[in-house]
Amino acid sequence: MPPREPTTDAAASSRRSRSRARIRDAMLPVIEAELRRGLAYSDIAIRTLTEQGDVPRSTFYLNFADKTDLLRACADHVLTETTGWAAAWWELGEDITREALHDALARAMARYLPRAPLMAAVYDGARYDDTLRDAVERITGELVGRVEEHLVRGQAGGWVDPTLLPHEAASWIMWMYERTQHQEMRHADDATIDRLVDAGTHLLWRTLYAPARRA
Amino acid sequence: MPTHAQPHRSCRARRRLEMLLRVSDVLEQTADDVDPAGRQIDDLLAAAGIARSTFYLHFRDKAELLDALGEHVFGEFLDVAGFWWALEAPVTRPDVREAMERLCDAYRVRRGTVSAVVDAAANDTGLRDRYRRLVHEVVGALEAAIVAGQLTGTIDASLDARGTATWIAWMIERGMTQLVMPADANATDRLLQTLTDLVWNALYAPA
Repeated sequence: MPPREPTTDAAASSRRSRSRARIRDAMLPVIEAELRRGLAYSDIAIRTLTEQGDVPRSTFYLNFADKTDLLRACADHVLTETTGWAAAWWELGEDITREALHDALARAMARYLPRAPLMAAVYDGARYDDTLRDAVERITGELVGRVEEHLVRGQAGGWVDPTLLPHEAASWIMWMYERTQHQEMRHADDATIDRLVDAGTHLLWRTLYAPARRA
Repeated sequence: MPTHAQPHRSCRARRRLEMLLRVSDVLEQTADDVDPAGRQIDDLLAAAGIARSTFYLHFRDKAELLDALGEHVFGEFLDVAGFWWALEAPVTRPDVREAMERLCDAYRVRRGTVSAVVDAAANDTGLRDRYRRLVHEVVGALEAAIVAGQLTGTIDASLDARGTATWIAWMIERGMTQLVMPADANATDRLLQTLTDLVWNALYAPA
């Protein structure tokens, strides 16, 4: 039997996804440049995005309902990136050392911080917009889940504090990172960022891993 | 300053504070409303029983009101946190748990006000910067407490006091509003237990 052809709907959906991704990738650098200039996301003009992203206005509105829809698409994309970058931490195991933890966190943060102004806009917008609130719930759920898995694995392996409640610990840590990165590190100079990475590593080491070594 | 001006200033400050507290009460009573932050200033004033003319004698606009509210509630949080930062050796987990519960209680009493201030800061660059400065006051106070603890041997001497205070302050600031405030009693207990463990491990546990 010959292979079935994709349905018309599935093919159209796939084309639309690719089109949305192309527009998102074209506009993401423009958004980040405008946020770095100090603009709020709500103040970035569609004209700026379409002209500097080289996307016809009509094409934008064929693919996105509005700027919020675009921001949500960017957030989903950054979540995919973030889980890739932070995996260097989550994949550490029983031979974890403080140095390896520091390297993993420093590299992840160096990659994430250019995205911090955009993600801060997503988290801020979530207080006012249902679609962004759903996106934030999805993002935080994913990140808490990954940290929780790491902690559960570590408790089973004897290298994470066995007394911590893993879901709650993952939740506190995830929000600590969200807030510190979006409220402090995005505004900080390199020396302050390095200092915060060092202090953050020391904090995670003492809270999660050191107690298991004392047991 | 002429002495006759001083009673006038303190009377004005007292009226301003009364107004702040009445608006805060309205925000607490309506904390569970849909979109309380979107409420117009006139609605807030009407609910608080404050005449517009009186309001504008003391505040330029809603942003200044929210600024002042933020400053007031953070002053309350700093007062409550004083119990934590005054803990003397030997600091135990139950000590830290009590400190976290006191903070949680302080947040719960002002959750509507905090929510309104945070929501406004999310939408206004000026308010966001001033809100950060309020958290930085907390960071500074916690930093001083860590340094004092390091001098007495209560807190790990290897910690970077400023960096550690920054991470912990933002963790509590965000976690209280995102995790604890919406939680039921059982979930709150688990969250506070974990916060206690994290803070105790971070600051007071043996190196």
